[in-house]
Amino acid sequence: MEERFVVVINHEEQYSIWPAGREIPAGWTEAGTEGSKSDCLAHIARVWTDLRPMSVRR
Amino acid sequence: MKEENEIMSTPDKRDAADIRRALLERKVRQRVAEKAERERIVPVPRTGKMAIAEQQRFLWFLHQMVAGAPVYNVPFAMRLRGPLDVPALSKALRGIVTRHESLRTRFGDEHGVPFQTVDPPPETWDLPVTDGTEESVQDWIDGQVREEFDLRNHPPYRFALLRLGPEEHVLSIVWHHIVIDGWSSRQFAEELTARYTDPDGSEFPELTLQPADFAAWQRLWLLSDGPAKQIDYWHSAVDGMEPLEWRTDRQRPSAPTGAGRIHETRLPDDLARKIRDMAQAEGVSLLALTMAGYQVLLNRYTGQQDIALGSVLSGRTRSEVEPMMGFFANTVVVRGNLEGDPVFRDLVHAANDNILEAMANQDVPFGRLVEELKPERLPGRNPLVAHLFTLLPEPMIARWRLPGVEVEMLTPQPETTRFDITFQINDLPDGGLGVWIEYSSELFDHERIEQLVEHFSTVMADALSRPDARASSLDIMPDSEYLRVLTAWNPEPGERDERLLHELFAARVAEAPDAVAMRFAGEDLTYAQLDERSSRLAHALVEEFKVTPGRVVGVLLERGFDLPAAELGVLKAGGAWLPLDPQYPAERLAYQLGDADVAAVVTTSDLADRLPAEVERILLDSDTLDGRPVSPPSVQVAQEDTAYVIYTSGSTGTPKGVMVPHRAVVNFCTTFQRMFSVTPDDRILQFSNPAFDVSVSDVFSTLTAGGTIVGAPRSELLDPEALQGLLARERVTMVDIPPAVLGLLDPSELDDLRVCFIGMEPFGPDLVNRWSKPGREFHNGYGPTEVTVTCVDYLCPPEPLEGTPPIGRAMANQRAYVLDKGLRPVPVGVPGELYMAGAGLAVGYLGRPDQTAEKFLPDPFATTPGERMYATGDLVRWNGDGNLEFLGRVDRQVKLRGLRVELGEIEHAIESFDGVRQCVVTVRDAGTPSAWLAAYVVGDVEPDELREFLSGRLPLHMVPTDYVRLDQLPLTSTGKVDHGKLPDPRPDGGAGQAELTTETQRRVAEIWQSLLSLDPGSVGAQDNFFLLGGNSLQVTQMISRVRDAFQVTLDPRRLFSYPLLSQFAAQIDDAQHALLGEDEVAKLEAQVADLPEEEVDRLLKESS
Repeated sequence: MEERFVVVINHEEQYSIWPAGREIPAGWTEAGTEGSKSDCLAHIARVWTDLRPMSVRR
Repeated sequence: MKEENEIMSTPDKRDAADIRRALLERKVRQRVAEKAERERIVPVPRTGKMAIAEQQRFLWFLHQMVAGAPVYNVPFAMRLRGPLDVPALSKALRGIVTRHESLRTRFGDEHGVPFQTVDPPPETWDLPVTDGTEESVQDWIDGQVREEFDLRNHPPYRFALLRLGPEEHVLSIVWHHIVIDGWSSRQFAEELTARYTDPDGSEFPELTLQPADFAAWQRLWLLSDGPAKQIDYWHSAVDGMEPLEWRTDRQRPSAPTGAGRIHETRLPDDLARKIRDMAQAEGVSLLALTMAGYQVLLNRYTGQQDIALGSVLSGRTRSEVEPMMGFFANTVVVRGNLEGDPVFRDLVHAANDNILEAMANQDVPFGRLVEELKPERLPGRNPLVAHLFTLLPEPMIARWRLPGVEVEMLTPQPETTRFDITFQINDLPDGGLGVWIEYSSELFDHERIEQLVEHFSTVMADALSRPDARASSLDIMPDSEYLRVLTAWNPEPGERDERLLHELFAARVAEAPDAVAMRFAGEDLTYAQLDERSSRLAHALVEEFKVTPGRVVGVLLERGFDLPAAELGVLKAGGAWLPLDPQYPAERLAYQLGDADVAAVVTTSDLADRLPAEVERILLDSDTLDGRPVSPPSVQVAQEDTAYVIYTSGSTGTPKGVMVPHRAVVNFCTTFQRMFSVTPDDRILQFSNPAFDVSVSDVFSTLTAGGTIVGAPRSELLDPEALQGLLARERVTMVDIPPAVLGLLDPSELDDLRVCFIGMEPFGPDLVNRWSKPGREFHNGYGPTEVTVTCVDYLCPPEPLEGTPPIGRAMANQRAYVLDKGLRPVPVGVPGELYMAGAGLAVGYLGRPDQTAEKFLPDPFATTPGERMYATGDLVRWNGDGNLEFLGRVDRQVKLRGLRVELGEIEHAIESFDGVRQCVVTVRDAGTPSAWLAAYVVGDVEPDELREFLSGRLPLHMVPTDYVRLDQLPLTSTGKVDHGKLPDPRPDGGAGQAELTTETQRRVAEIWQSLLSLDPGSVGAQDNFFLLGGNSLQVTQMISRVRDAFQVTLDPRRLFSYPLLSQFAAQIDDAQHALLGEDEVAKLEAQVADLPEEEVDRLLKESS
């Protein structure tokens, strides 16, 4: 069975993925998408348009 | 009832049916009795040379493979306190030998087929008694077990008594495993106890059946259709089985000596009790429950989901063999499947089912199984399973008792091992669980074994407390070890400099404006000059190209003063510089410029034509900077803003731009200064290609510390003589150059050189030993671009190194984690992927959110929430000192006929050979059964010598078959090996290599063909005995046929080192020459040389 992941985001609005069902590390929250690794990454490719940390976006 | 009524109603019919039924019953009874009679073990005549059991045949072969090492000696030693009746003891032992033929059996072989002969009972025999002292006890019992048995000429046992005093003795009992197994040792002990008080042994009737009868029976059984069903079971049971690849502490020697150690301990009593309770509650065996825990542990150690372990079963599946003292035990394979991350309880039941199945099919001897299954043979490795997990049940634990005498068991150290590791649980009579481990001391350190027991206890305790947890969530490391690998071996967080990279430079300009910032081609550039020029450029960038923080500016320049000026200029404008190599193909430049969406490119007029027409440019050799302000423009830049972008080629092929923020590069530069105590007096070589991030270190570690960059044109740097001259003339104090380049230089005349910061590629100890000296530090640095130049560092100790140096520990404000695929820390010694966290992390990959998210993951171990960690893709492990060892790329692990092979490990081994400068190993015909390894080597080496060297260091399957010498490795433009451009090692298809060229080769080919049932003419000179299907048992037969054909006796182990037909034939030639002596061979050679040609022809025809 293919491993499932969730899309997570931190305070700097940086996105990443984390294995589904595992405790999400402190400072990260689920961003609402769960699926295969490639599904999660494809979702991130669509929504994460500015890679700079939020603190330096102007 | 209805049926009976019907029968009752028709009396005649009933009679007929009854008669028929009675007849049928009688026939069935007869058939069953006949069948049982046929299958019964019956006494066979004691002729001279009798068959031996399959178990014994396999052991006989192994016994010869480890000739000289008493690997299969089974020792018992005990201290006897109290009045000992020595004659009674002696008589008791003689009685046992008389009753059991196994102790009177000798072995031999004819044409590779082993046989046994049984000697008559000894007429007289006395227990040898020697006097000894308290201090000599251990040496004496060790000496008893370490002495080899001559199974051909002497009895397979050795009993002896050491007298320490009138009422103080030590009894040693040793026998060879080929005659007695664990079950029998219990019988032996019981019989000894009884006979000691009753020397006539009246309670032990003469045995009607002995092991030789079993052997004869087994031979017939194996020829019957009986084994077929069991063999079918084993075929499917081991189908697709992966050998367990537990990375050892030391490289497996190609000719192992069988050296081993025994480690004995007990599980904590409360843990033992809980294990028993759960086994009982679940209705599973102790073996199944503990093996499931062990499977979880090995899954973590190896990353494998298919965990195949050997386990020893008693082999007493027929009642007739129960009273016999002999070797009936058999090894079986039990597989655990961790796929899909099962819950522990299910794993336990699966193990229990598998063990029950294995028991039902245990009659096929292991050696026969090996022959049937033909697994790939590896020198120095047990076939199928090299790792045992077994349980010694309470009824099999020998209880040594002599009435009136107090018996205390002692532990002899045979210092041998049969397998890589045998992990045995002893079901102790007191309710506890003992752990007895015999392990190869050639492969494992003692600490590793202690750790194994600790991890086993930890995982069992966790699993018992929550049996419905998934295997992946169980803890294998105690808390103290977590702390060690996650925290203690990483630096404590320290102060970080919060300035920007160009602010650090500005501070140096203010301190010493006239100091020399850079030397190039004999000229100086001062800090003030560099500051002014970069400020002017910054103004041009801001005013004309609207550069703002986050914008990328290309830098396309040859080496010289303009390079640091351009990089600083971009920083002062608030942008991020993108270094571009003028040697890149135009399309690669265009790709990067487009991908990074550059605001402009800083270049010169002679290079500008390399740029696509639409790209904005600023020419430094024009008057464009004239008249612009010499103080920097005012821009708002933050530490998280990108300072530079450097492209790296990923495994996917498309280069990705790594965005490195000021925070990361400032942390690197300040760390560098502290590590090396850089002062304004330092002169640092700028060697690295400006398009690589090591150049950032060369330039900015120097400029932020007030030192001087020593630059030179590319041609001068790449000419070792010129480079040597440059280093001496400019009195360079620090270098960061590739190991291959350093290796070409002469350390003797470079007294000013105080720091060698070497990295990028692994290197051997020789380089360090040549260059390291008092007053000169040698560092092994490691770092991917994504973690800013170097993030892990090892300072080599002043004393000479013996092996490749580790890469060390995380540098300041960084953290290194070694994690398994499930992102859990792995224990010391276990390979895992290196993850880096902390101040060195890049922002991500420019314009690639998906790839950034994939490689920069949430850091679950961070103390500050929300941090990320970068997956380096490098395979490393912690050593016991808390230093990281680099093992290769995670994605360079390949499968060769089902075996995991680390290409990097082979390359390491090749690189440690004298004369090799660089190498790369690739798999050809990957994924096919004929897959093979090719090595491409740069350096002055003889392939045969290199092969010989490697077969002494690497397991045979890791020794490349083909060697190609190259002047240099083909590189991609980022400097990585271009695998696509490596030449075909066998351009002619390899046909020429297969031809049999000597008479010896032709005769060996015939032997192999007949032994392996191959078609005539199908074996070539480059064929490998084992790949042709040859197995270990056929090795002895082959050696025996070679002896008949060539009159030389070769050590069977030689075949493992020289498995190719041409190599093995050469061994025979060498042995024949050695037999005759140099002089006689020379004489013969001279005679042949003098013969006329027609005479030679005639003689050859005659002999063939």
